[in-house]
Amino acid sequence: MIDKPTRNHWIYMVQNILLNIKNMWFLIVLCLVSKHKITFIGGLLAFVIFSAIIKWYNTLFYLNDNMLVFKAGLFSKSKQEIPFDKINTVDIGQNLLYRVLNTCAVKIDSGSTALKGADFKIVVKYKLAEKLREDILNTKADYIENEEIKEENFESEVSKTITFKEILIYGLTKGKLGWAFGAYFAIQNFLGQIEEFIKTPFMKNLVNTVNIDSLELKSASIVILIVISVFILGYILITLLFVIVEYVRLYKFSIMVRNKNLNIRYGLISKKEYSFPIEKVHAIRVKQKILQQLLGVYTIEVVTIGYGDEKAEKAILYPIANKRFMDEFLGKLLPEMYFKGEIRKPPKSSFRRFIFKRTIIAVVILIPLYFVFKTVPSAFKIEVISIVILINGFLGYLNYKNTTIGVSEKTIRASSGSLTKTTTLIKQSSVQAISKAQNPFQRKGKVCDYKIDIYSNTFGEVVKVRHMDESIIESLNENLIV
Amino acid sequence: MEYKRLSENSKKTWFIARAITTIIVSAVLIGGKCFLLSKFKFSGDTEWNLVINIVIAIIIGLLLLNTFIYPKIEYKQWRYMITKDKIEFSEGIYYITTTIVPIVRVQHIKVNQGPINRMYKLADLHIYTAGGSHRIPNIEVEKAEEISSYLKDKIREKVEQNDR
Repeated sequence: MIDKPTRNHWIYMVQNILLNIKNMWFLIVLCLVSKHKITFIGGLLAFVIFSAIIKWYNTLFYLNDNMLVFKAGLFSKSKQEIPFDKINTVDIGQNLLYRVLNTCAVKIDSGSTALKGADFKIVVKYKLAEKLREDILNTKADYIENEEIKEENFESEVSKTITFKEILIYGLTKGKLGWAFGAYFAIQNFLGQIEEFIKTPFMKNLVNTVNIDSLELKSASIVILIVISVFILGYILITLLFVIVEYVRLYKFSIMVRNKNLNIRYGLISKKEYSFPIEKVHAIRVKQKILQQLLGVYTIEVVTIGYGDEKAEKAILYPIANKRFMDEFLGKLLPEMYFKGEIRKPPKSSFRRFIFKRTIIAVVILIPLYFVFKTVPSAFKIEVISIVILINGFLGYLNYKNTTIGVSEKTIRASSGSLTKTTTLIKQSSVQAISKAQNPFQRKGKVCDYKIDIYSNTFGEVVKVRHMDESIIESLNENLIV
Repeated sequence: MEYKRLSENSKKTWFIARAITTIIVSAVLIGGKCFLLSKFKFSGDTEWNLVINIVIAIIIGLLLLNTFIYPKIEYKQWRYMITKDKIEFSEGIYYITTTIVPIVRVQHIKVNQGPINRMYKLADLHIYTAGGSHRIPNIEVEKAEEISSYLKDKIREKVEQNDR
């Protein structure tokens, strides 16, 4: 037990000094142009160093009576106490610098939605962090066990580590069309620069090497060929890059259950570890990009309070899972989230509703634009409008196909989305409210939109499923835990 | 248990509040347009003048609709029911939304009274859960207090049950 007041590692002080210097760049520039620059810069540096030392000295933490005590402050001092049973996640992060020094950043989150980001952040030696996590989460398990919860539906030790094949599938199937467009323009720009360098038009040279009878047809088809091949080249390059990046990021991604806590760790260069009590998982979100929808694989995220509310922070449960994972692993790990029951699709009459709205919006925007751009040939404009309408129709179809809802005694399973399909599995006990919304047309067709309000980081976050049969509200209502 | 309606006076309070908004926004829009025209002398460009007039007319038209017509429809659609374990309410103009909140999920309740509501002895009841907030507007103050204390008792009961 860490019962003695403990301070951050000294690297925390150094980081604070560097951060303050970075934040004060404007003042430093002002000092540089003044007459007494050495005095001013010296004074500023002395202030920065002195305040960082004081801040480091005043920041203390320790454990006392099943509570984490955190004291901090530079001029005004504060003391926060957080009971172990209110702690939702303990996150341990190590970047390269921390790894060299064998330290890590520990973030501790309670369920407060009022505070953005972690409630406590400290930098300590790795061993101390592990001890802290053990003390908080293990004591917590004992503490709850003594009170009541005895039933154990899951095995005490469940673990799984990612394989290279899984990372490869993840890297290959991750949505990167936008990146590919970026790469396409980058390559095109690069080719343009080459063209300028050799002073001969690149396209023309390529056109001359291919012997096609009609000159017009020749240049047109070559241009299309070049555009497509450059795009494919960009896509391949980006995919390769993604696989490498994901391999480094998700290296040895492992998930483990110990003492009713979920522990997740991954990373080759920067290491990341987070732990949270299983009972604090309110829902899980299963996401599928278009390629992943075709292959039947998905990324699983956890909806828990406190974690995942910072920039680039996602509470990933497993980056690439399949049905087998769901059946074998999730059934044991989170039995309350494992949905068994009937999955309802929107009625056939709803198909037109999914297509109509998004298509009509596109038409309303595009038609006036048709008349605004008078100089653009009308054939081209019609082509663009048709393509946009077709794409919107296709997206509407995907949305119709992906929309489902299932209600059981313990779980609600709601799916929606077009290019990215999101399925949310919500624990009935975490449902905060249920809404049913109907416009006059939907009322006529006996369908409605459902909104399920869940306990999550973002206040007011809802899971929305559109154009479903209006009678489903009865089973939602029946199974609602009151 | 039957659905209850909001206070009959809610039509008046909605009307007054929205009429004030309509007057202020219309004055700003029309005054702003006149000021800009006189300052920058745009009057030569009649096409733009027409577009601006249409936009202003649409905004004012919607505000008038919101002031004169919607309060009656909203009053007709608004209904709520508080049972021993659920709060259920239904509202909307075009989109009718029915929401169900289990009482056990309610975290806290707030009774709010604005100046116009005070004139008619009405109050808004705000219900907060861990997932979001809900509002039952324009109910009589005594009724709002009654509901609020009923909900508080119910929450306490549920908490005690869970603790046992």
